[in-house]
Amino acid sequence: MRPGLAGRLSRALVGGHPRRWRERYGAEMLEVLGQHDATARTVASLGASAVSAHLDPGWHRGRRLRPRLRRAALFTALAVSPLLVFAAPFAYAAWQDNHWHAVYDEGLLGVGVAAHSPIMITAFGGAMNGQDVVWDVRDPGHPMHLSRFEGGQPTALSAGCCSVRGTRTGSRSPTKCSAAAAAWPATRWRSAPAGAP
Amino acid sequence: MHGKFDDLGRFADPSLLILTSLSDGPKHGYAIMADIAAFSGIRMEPGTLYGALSRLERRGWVRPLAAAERRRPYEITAGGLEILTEQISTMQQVAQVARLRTATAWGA
Repeated sequence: MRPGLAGRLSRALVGGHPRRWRERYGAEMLEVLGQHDATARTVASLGASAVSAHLDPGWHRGRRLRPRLRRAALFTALAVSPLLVFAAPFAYAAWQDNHWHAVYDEGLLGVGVAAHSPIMITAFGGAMNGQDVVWDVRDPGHPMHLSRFEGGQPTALSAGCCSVRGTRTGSRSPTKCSAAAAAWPATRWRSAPAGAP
Repeated sequence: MHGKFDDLGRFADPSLLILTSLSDGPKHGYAIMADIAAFSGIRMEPGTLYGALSRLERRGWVRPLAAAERRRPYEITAGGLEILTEQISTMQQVAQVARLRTATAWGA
């Protein structure tokens, strides 16, 4: 290794030490390097010194970082806890929407089951704010919510198929006004113009 | 044979050389390197020197003095002198046993 290159690398490696180490020994070491004929051994020793200093908890910034991490964790916990408290009821309601839960505020008005098909429709609420919920009841013990229609109209059920009119909600891609044709094994939803039969 | 130098690992030799160099008076970094080269023939590199110096300083065996420009001299402390004496004594004992055994082995 050429002396000029070794000298430049050595000076660069002084900068590769932890900050606290540089503050303590950096200027002294640069002074020594100014008087020392740097070689490949010099570069190797400085590289080893930098690695060793970084691994040494006495020089590593981890000492200062640990209290900061503790504070950050505490702050995060304090900030997130109220959100969790407020979000929990909504999360529970969303979970309920996807699972069978027969108790609705305004009571269950009716249940329709399509013959020879694992599709069931439940009707809740009044005429103005009624809800029709379509369920997959392949496993009767754990019905799966398929979709919900606000202001649902009387449903038509036939063997292996059902249809619902209303505003579809509780879906990833809700349509404003939909007609639902749930046919086993595939459940398809189609948008339909408002007022369509 | 275990001593206080053991947990310094591979830095045991540089630490011993530095303490020996400082035992006759304070020196700054480059002077320590030059002194070690003069009395032992070992060319100590700056990375090794300051790695060992920082450990010795943390143990309280050397202490930094006021810096003159960018050169900061170091002096050996009473604790450092004590550990150096202890280490030299151990080395002398090892050397004496080694001398006797090699003399017996070679029939000298």
